[in-house]
Amino acid sequence: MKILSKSRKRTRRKPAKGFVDHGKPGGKSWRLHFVNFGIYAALAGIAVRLVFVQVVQHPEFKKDAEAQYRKIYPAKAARGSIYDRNGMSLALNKSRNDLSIHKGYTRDAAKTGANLATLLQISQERVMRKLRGPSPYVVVARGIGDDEAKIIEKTKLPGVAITQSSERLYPFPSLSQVIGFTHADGKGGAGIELEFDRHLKGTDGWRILQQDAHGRSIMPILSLAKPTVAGTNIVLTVDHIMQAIVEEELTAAVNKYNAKGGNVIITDPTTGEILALASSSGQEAELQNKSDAAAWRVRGIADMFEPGSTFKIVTLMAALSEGKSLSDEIFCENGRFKIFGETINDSQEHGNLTLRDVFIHSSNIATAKLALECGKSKLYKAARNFGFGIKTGIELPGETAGILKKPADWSRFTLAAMSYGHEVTATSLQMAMAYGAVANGGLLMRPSIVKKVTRPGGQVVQEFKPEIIRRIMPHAIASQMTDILQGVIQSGTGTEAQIPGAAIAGKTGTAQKPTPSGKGYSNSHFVASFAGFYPTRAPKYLIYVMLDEPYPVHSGGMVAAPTFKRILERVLKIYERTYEPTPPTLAANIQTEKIDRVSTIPQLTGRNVDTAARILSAKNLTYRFRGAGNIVAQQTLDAEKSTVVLNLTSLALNSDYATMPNVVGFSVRRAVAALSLRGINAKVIGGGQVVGQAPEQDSKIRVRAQALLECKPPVSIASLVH
Amino acid sequence: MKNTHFKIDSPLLIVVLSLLVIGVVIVYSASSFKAQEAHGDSHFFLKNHFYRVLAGLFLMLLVARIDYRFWLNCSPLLLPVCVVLLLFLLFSPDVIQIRGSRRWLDLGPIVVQPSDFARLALLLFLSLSLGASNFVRPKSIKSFGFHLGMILLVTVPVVAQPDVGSALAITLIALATLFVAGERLRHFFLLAVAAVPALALLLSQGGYRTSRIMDFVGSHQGGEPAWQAQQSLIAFGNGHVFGQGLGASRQKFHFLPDPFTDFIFAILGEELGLLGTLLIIALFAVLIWSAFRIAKNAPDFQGRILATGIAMSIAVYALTNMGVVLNLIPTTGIPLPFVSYGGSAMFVNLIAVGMLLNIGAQAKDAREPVRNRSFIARGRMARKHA
Repeated sequence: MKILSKSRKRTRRKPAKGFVDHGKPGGKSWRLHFVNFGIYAALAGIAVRLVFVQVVQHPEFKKDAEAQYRKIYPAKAARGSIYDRNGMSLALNKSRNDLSIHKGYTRDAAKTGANLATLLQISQERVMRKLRGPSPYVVVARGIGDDEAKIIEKTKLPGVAITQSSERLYPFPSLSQVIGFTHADGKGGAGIELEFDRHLKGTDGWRILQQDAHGRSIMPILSLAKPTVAGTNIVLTVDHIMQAIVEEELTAAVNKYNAKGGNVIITDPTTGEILALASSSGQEAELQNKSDAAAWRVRGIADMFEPGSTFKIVTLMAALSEGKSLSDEIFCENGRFKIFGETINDSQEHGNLTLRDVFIHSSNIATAKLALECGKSKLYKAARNFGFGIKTGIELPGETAGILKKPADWSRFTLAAMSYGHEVTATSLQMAMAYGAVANGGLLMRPSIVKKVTRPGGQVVQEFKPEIIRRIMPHAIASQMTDILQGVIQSGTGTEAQIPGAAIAGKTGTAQKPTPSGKGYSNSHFVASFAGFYPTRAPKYLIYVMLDEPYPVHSGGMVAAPTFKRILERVLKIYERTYEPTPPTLAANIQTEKIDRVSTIPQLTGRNVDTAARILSAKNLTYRFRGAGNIVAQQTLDAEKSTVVLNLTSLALNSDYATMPNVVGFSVRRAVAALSLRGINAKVIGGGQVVGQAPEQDSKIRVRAQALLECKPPVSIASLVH
Repeated sequence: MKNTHFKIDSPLLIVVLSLLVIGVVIVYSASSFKAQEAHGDSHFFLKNHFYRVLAGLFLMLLVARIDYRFWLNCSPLLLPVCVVLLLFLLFSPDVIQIRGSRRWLDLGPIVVQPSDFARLALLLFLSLSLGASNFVRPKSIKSFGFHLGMILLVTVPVVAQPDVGSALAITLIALATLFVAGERLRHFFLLAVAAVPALALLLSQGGYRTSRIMDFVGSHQGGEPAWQAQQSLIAFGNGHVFGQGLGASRQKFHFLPDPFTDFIFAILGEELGLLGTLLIIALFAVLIWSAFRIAKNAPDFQGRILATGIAMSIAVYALTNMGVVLNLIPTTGIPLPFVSYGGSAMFVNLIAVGMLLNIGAQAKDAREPVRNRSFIARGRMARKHA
């Protein structure tokens, strides 16, 4: 107070001089006005700037603003599925649940992470390591189960999100190269996935979300979205059961005959449709490497080889077209024929043979003589007509045309060599199509592996109808050739392909492989092949079998023909009801084979009846149902009858009450699955292993009611140590 | 008793109340998102701000009833206290540091910036001493030097915090009072000549200052301040004439780092558009006009200087803040008076307005006897008679 009163006195007592000069209240005060107007000027400047920024520059800033608020989220279109001709999924999309944590939104990221790790029974260590990283958004676990995902979503833990992504699945573990694969970005990488990518991929859409500076969405703008258009489905001509048979038999043959590899193709000769297309050398391990184009090639269309005697149908057609008669006799030089400085050998020594027998016994010498009679251009034309040296035009990537040299490039010996399938290369598919033309009465068909393209609802977008490339011979000649080919099976080189009661026509082939140096042919490396079809009239199945370097047995008749037979037998057993059961001896073989395969019966419990039946029939296993219902509850094996017995049950969704099973000791996943099978919902408390359940075992619980599962993490060795 | 006219400067009071109300609304809009995120309560900052505004208004009215000469006479005590506080900030080990700066004092419920109080104390002291002719001879070089020394007493510790923005603002405000007080122009020129190398030195040293200036001059080559400036302009620009609508700001979603404190004007511009920003400009213009009118009609020289200083203080802070958010001057941490989220600056500004109101209540052109005037004047009278 002293200071206060003192200073007040001072001011009162002696008014400042300046006061009088320019500071006098009410007096002239230009300095005050100067400052005042200075401020107004500055405010005016701010106002001008505001007008400039808010009005003049508005469009520019609006653009900037929109750009940073809106994030376009691409929405991936669902990729189309690939089906076999019977509607079996060969490639499909499965949504996958990923669990992510947004650290900024959690109350305690570490605790949340630890809880989730316990619930999911995954390593806490790993979760923690991920959470310690710099990124605010962490994907903690990928591909977690639907049940867990649901449970986690129900908890609504802050900062925890389940995101769904799509995964391409190939449920049928075969036909890999034909179907191909998709890259991580969803683009097709091989096979049908690549060739029909444009159909399968659909049209991607997008959604615009408003976002904050950290990229988190503020609110969706519903009106700004381009819906996705799901990709169309591809229905293949392939029959997955035949494919399974072919793959099994091919693998068995390759093992049995010590072959390097092999191809088998089944086609429908009247339509050119491929029913099965398999090669054995594409091993699973090789297929892991998606960039290994060689591993992913479809060998049946990409690999060419000298076909050997199976090629003789070209010479045969040329000869018959020249008016040769089946009864014309040709001298076979007793197995050794020198011409143009080269020697042609027959595997068996023959004297005179009729034209028919030349082919039945597959005499190279006589075939060469026939070719020499026909001349270069006739043989070349016949080969061209059969489609050699030209791509078949199948809807698969990576096809090769094979090599059919032009007559101008031929040596003097080429004509003879080519007559029995040397100095010419072909793919397995070309061989199959050539034999198809003989089988169907002279029409070369364009092979097809895609039957139709359908919309998700099943509506057909595009259908691939059988396509005739050309008629390559009159019907009469085709039936003459069929007749000869039937003789091959009955009494010639192809007797190993005989199936009693079945009218089969076919031709064996045993080709020496050219030596790696390119000069001459190897005496130890062979390509054994067999092309045959059934039935001889109105053929339905044409099977081409090629085995690469079988050893030591290497002739087409001894290696490829039996493989053909085994495949055809199994196909007929499944598809031809009219086909008579095999004779006892054969049946016994099949029995043993079945017993051998008992250990490989798949786990079917919980499966739908139809699915179970399909799986078993594909494995060529007999089965029997016991009880009523639509779900396999239990499977047993009747060893005596080698029959799988499936006990059925109904999914109890329609009844009001279900019986509570015992789930104590189960993992959460298993317990929830067991309950959902009975229509009971599960409320899981804790995580890990179920240690308590309510209600008790065998008590009745209302369907869709919640059972309580008390869970604790299983005691780990680590926890005992510490 | 026949005339019950309240001699309270109603335009000033209305303008200040308007700014406070607008401030509360925009603070709510701009802070709710951050409040929800950081405190789980979207009203967190609104509540705080509202209570502080109420407390500030109470202080303002209280101060308005106290004769401003009381504060003038207190200033020889207040100024040293403030300077000691500023020095304490510099040398105390447990002072909060934000971005390497020691500007704040944590008082529990509120974090204050002592430089705000020092600014007012300096104004009070300058008003007192400029009007005290027996102390130093007015308009002499000695007087100029003495007052400059007083200014440096406050600004040097502030520069050392470092808070060059506030220091420059305080210097500008204080020099304005010297100018209005009638100090010789040649002394000012002398100071200007001397200041050039000093400023150059100041700018060449501080790392963050230099980078801010470089950010500003070098047309946004990156960095946090450049990002802020760009985001601020986007807010204004996207606001257009009528704004995005109240509460519809999107820049507040982490784009602008301080949406309800230093950059509140940008959010206002985004939500209320040019109309809103020009309204604020107009309110400040009226406020400054009222303040200068009060200065002009102040009952004595010291009242005039003090009123001028307060008017300058509010004007310089408002202009600096607007200049920053409109990217006209480099970034400094100066809030928009009365509008920004309440800190010590708001309290100091409201207290200052209280003083202005008191000066206005004692205006020399008042025709009515003192006892018949407003409750403010009555309050003053009551003390006088006591």
